[in-house]
Amino acid sequence: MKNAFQRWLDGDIDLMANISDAAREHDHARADIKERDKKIAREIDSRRETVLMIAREREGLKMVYDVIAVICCVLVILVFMYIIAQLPLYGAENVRATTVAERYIEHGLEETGAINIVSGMILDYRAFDTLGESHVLFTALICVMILLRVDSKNQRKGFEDYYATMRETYFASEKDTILRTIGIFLVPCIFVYGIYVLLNGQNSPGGGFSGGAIMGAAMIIFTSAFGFDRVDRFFTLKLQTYVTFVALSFYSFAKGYVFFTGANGLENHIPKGTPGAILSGGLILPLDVAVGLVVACTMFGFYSLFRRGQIGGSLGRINS
Amino acid sequence: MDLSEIFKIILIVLLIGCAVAVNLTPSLLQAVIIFMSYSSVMCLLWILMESPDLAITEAAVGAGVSGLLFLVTLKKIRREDENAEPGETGPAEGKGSRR
Amino acid sequence: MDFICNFPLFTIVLSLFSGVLCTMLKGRTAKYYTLLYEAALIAMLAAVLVYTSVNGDFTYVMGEFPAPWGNEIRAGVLEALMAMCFMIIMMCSILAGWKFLVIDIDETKINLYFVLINLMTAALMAMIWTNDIFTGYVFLEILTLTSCGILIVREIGRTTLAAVRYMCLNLLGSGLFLLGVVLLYDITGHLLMVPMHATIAEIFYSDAAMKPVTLALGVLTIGLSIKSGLFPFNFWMPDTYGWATPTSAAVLSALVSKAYIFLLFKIYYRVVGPQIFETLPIRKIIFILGIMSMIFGSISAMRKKSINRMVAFSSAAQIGYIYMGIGIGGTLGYAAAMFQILAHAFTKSLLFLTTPRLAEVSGDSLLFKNLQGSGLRRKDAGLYFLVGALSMVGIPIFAGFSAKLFFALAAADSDNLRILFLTMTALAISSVLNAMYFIRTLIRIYSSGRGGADISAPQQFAHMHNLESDVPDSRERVETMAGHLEYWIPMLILVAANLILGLNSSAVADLIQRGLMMFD
Repeated sequence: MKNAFQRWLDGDIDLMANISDAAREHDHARADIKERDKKIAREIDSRRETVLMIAREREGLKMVYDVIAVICCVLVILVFMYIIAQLPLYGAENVRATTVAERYIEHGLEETGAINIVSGMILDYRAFDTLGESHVLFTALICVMILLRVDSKNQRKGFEDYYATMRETYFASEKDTILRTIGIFLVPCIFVYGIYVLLNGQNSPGGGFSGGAIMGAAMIIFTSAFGFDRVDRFFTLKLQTYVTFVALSFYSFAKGYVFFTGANGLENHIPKGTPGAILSGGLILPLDVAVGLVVACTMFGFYSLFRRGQIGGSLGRINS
Repeated sequence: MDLSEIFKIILIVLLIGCAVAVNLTPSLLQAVIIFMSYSSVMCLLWILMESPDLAITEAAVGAGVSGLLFLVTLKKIRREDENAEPGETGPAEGKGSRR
Repeated sequence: MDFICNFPLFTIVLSLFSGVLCTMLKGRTAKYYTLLYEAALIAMLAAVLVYTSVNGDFTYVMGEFPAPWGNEIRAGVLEALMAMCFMIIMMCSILAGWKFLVIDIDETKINLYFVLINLMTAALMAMIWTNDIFTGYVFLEILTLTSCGILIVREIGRTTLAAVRYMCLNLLGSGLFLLGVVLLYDITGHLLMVPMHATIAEIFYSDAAMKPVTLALGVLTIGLSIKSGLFPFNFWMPDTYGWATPTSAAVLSALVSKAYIFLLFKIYYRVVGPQIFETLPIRKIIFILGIMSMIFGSISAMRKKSINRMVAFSSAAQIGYIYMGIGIGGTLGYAAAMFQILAHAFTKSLLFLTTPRLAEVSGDSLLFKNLQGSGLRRKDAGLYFLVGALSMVGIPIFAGFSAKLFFALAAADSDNLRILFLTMTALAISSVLNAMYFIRTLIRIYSSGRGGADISAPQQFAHMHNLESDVPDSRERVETMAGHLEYWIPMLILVAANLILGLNSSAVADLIQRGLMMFD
């Protein structure tokens, strides 16, 4: 049983088929023999370079690599265990290491207005880090869009995927009773639960990231059960772009305003509310909503891009 | 040593077992499912360490969405079974190539 | 507090906003917006530089909670200088490489490329200004993802393979860095750099166990060394830089690896402190690895047959210089390392932006045998490559010579004969090796010969794949005057910067040393 690389090395698959096909068509159109010779010579050149590059990976004794890998892992494990053995125990008294944490625990409620100190900490004390983190997710979505979104180049593959999913949902709606029945009951519950976790970020465990992930998961289950065409009615690329743009810009500017006023010693006039109510915690609720929307759109965007190479879109319209 | 400590130790041993098993299984589908169970065990450990925020996120993201994305990837490259025929997965050479 | 003190915050927040904004814009609009925004950014950073060199550094509290409970950023002369130079290089890379961006990237994805460039700007700015180790990690993540993104945007097989390898190694490096941060937090209980330094100094001077701190720093160093390409970890460089579109290659090699090294240096200088750092064994290890990087990078570069891969390996060698400078220690050593960061950033971007133009007149091939005479066929690219190569070798007037001179002075100042001997030997050997492969390349591109100029270009293949493209055949890739200016102006700016660093090096070195004095 050979894997793909070995079969390609043996010449069973031809990864350069696209280029050589195009070259041959082109030459028949032009009937220029000297050009064709030169092209083939350079193809062989570049093909040889790719072969060499991948063959280099296969060089070396695989056994030696395995042994060295295991030894490295064991060494790293031993080093970490040595370091951790010298650290204080979980939950033990450690005066040096808890000066910062003490203030969060003692004064967190009154300074941030949130019962859930973790939310207060990530969205108020150390809000700058969370600003960066929410953009990390957005960056990941952009990278996946670059890699997987169907454009004029891989249109053929994109059409195949698109029609494959269309076929699936057509047949699935008739055959997959279990998924549909469970979907009818579970999807609303999961969605509402996600919204609950999101809105209660400042009062109970949860917050923007968890709530958004749950909502995204609900949308994925809905798509698996009922097909893409129903989701396409409301979740288009335009909606996703707008929602992400509005949510992230709101986050950047709201937090920018808080940082600006805080650093310059001005009052930022954001009410803290009464702890325990929904509308409390200052900016924590709006930021949770913004982050949750971004995360939900991102999760579902990943699923959509992985399945058929586009977000939203209708029959035949690939380039959104 | 009370019951919760024993429970924690069992979970940690299970965690290490899952991590090693992900590397050693021959089939990619099994590896993804063991990865999802790794995430679930981690979720339980977070609850035992009194961090429910992390537990919710780990369950939703690790055992849920990221395992699902792995499965969708396996379907896309048609490699659920290591012995199966891989689909044609050549790199697309087109507009970007200047060589 | 003057209004200028808010500028570092603006650079970060506005860059993040610009990144998100570019998803809504079309391709060319995104480019013009990005260039305009970067010009405004350079103006803001120049203002901060002037302000800090007159008034000293300032700390900016992010939010209403002071350190150590809230977050803060800090701006000084060194940070402002680095930030301004990075932005100049990024702007010049976008302008000079625009022609190839249009060819390499699908039209619908050009705005996504600028999203990544803006987010990368935000990450670079945040890593330069940060005064908190976890904020450094978060923006390091953004930098990792955007650098992989700008690689895969050129959708050919080799780039995707190289980008996947680059991403795996980068994630390993990030993971190790995060583990180091977590361990340091557990030991010291702080995430902000200045309080963490106070705790570490207390541990050190009270003779408590310093081993966990040293090991945690070691883990952190290994993580950042993998990401920036120190000696055993630089095998990803040739594939990554060799196949990227020229703007990406220039930005990656000139800016991204330097940002990681700058963060590492900041941790050594601000968290550990120079006095404690000079007693740790990490310093000697970095010194040795830097020297080995210099020598082995150059040896690997000599054996390459393609010009991009050679330039990529010489990048590995030059990064070894920076680590050697950090290893030498002392104010002069650190200043020399910072100067080399600037010199290498300006030179490497120059080189990566000229090689595709040389290849264009040699049948789009980057192999040496096809590049013969390309400097004569295309005189402007040849001239810029000449400047870059001479700077790398270390000819006086150019920046590379001043950098090497500073390293020698720093070694002489360190009062340690072994360091002096090793540094001088390493400088000599690596300069000779650099000369060997760069002068050979210069001779090759300037000797007369047709090289690969008669091979017709493969743009005709792209023609076949692109159903409704308007990318012209390469034989018709005639540039308008605007296209020429779009290339010449940024390249001349880079050459001018190189000459300024070379001729006026003492002024720049003074600025850097002043920045270092307010850096801790």
